[in-house]
Amino acid sequence: MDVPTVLMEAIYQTVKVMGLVFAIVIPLTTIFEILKRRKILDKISNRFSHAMKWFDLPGKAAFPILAGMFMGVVYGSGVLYKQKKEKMLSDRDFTIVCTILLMCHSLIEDTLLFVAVGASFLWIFGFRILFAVLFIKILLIVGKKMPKLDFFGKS
Amino acid sequence: MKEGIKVGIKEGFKFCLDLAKIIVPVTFAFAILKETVIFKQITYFLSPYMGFVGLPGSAAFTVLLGFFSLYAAVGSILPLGLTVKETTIVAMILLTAHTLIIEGGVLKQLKLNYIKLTAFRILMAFFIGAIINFLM
Repeated sequence: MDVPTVLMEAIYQTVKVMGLVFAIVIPLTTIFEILKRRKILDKISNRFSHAMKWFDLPGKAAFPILAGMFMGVVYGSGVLYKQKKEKMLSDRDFTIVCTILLMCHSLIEDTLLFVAVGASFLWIFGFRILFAVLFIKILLIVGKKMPKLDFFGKS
Repeated sequence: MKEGIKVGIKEGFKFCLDLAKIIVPVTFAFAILKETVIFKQITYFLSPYMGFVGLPGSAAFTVLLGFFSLYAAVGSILPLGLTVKETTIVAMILLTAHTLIIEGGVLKQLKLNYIKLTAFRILMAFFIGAIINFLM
């Protein structure tokens, strides 16, 4: 290809990707801000408190997990720092929560950025949750059967 | 509600500008780089190593960039012209393991074993990539 064609293509792709980024990010941050102000997450997380038993976690772990998964990484890590500071969870529970979030955070915003450049939303969204749940469950079962190999234990 | 919308849009705009600082130079640079001979040679050399997760050699750059900055990786995808399947695999790998240094720093501050957890992430990322390549 000649130089002008390459340059035009580069400009076109840069403009395109930034257009997509603006179209995704601004509505999302607006929705997140409204959800935060209405404290929707506090209300929803109560409903998920039973599901936390599956990860050997107390019900109050639902809030940091949902915050990290759906509200973006800045807000999520803010919640984690607060939890750590106020010692709301035991060390082991906190490690489990962080490991889940490490594998699966900012489910909406980061996923949509990749969807904007051509990935499949359903595959990513579904499999990220599935893999995170599955791997953590496997680590928990292994830890229970063989305490020496416990991934979330002291090390 | 009105105040929330205002703040949300402002925050979004700020975030977009931060993203632009990374994505614009990366996208522009990759659109030019990929036409160079040396890029094609490196890609050719890397392709057998990326094959096990079903990616072309050029996607190695995306994965490597993503380990440092997820948004830089997003910028490199359009110029490389990956297919839907390849983009989905790259996305799954990178969404599992990305921005390792900064997020490792967060783990360290939270007093967690950041080396173990980061190693776990990278391992899982390629494992997941291989599974998606097999399934999709």
